[in-house]
Amino acid sequence: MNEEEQTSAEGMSDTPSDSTMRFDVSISTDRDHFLRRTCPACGQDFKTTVDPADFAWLLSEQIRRSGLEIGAVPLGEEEQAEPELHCPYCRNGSKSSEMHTEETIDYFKRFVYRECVVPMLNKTFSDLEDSIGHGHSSGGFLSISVNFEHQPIALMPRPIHGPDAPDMKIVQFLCCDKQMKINEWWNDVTECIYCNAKVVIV
Amino acid sequence: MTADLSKDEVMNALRNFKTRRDDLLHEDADTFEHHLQRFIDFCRQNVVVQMVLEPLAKKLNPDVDTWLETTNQYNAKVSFPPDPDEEFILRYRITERAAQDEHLVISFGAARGQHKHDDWINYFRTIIIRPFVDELSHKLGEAANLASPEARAIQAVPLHRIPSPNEVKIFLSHKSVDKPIVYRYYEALKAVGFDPWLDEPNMAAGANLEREVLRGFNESCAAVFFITENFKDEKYLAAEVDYAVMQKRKKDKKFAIITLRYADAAPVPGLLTPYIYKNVSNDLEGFRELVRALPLELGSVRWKAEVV
Repeated sequence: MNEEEQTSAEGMSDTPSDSTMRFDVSISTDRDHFLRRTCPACGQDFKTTVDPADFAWLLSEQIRRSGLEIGAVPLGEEEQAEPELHCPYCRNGSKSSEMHTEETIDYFKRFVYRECVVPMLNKTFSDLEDSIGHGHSSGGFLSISVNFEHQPIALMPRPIHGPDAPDMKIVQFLCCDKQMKINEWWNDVTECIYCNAKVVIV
Repeated sequence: MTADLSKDEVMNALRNFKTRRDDLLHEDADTFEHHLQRFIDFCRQNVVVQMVLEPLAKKLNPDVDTWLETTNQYNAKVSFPPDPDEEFILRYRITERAAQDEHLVISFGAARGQHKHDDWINYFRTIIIRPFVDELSHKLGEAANLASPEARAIQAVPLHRIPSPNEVKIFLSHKSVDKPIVYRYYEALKAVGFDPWLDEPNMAAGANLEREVLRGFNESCAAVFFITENFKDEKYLAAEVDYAVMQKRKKDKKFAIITLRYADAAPVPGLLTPYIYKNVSNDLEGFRELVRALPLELGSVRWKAEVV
């Protein structure tokens, strides 16, 4: 019942040529296929249906934050602006990649570290070892001896996302025919979190 | 599966499980033993985790000693039972054993050419623990069975789709002699949540009939004409047909002219023929056609307040 959604992001260039890397990320949703989100402004949780583009944006954001000087752009998203979500509690509008839970962000950080950062570091050190591994230079009066040995950084286990309980109540937006989940006690929904249309709960 | 537990118990169990699982998988190798013990203690004590582990652990009893003896030989293949549940429990037992015996992790890694402390731990995490906690995560997700939120579903309707109370009436036009039929429709429409308009119950004594009928039309989103053998396109009925056509011109899609023609009935009046009418053989069929033709829809299904 705990559904796993997969998404992919493309656009990370790992060499000066325009090569790309493709990532498949498994995301766990609750039994009703909703993904938990957290509003960065009020800290309250709500859930949305899953859009793979969200994860592509989040992944590219995490790759950038990891300090990798590569332009990661979600596949096919070059021409599109990142969608916004509006918090059902405080009505704060933020990019959808900024409305993930701490758990999801940690998962993506670990994913990026394991799949991008460590392989790149290992490759960099390996290249360095190849070029100066046992170099000896004695030009003029100065003699330098370099001995560089690199032990590859071991890969950590792949991170796991979820599980999540099927809590909260479902709200069906008739304006854009999408759904969300909000806390049981909250009824003051006046705008659609997806398209921002004015709505009333019936 | 967790129906007897409160929502907080289920949510806390999942939250604590995820924290301990991620610490076990990703924290520094130096703290591995601590996190392994903490994770095993949690698995043994937590009610939700035990709901998943206990039935399988009772049913299946894999021979951990033999597995370790075989697997820890130099370069031996790591193989698991073909039955997924048996594999799951075997992994759990090995993980439990590793919490008791720190040399298990070392000998498992060393048998496969791992030489350093961090490598032994990462190898054990990847080969033994991760598949176990991945499967346990999946099983816990299934077990965390809170009351279905479908029962608590609500609708958020855009404001332009919310009619005001004075435009949702359903005007029931009829010949007085057909009142018994029309009353049945009136009651049925009310029972399912619509707001039908019928002269008798909706008009106060002494009210001006013409004006009240006109007001009834102005507040309606539909006019229903019951064409029976008694129907004649004259007098009040003729005026009501005219009013209905006027409302249709004024309100367009937000007003429906619905004509139900019973068997052996009079012909449909000329002014109504441009609008779709249905020949119906009984009230139930007529009611279905009426509801289908209305420009309104009612909310999602929910339990009545006195049921839940």
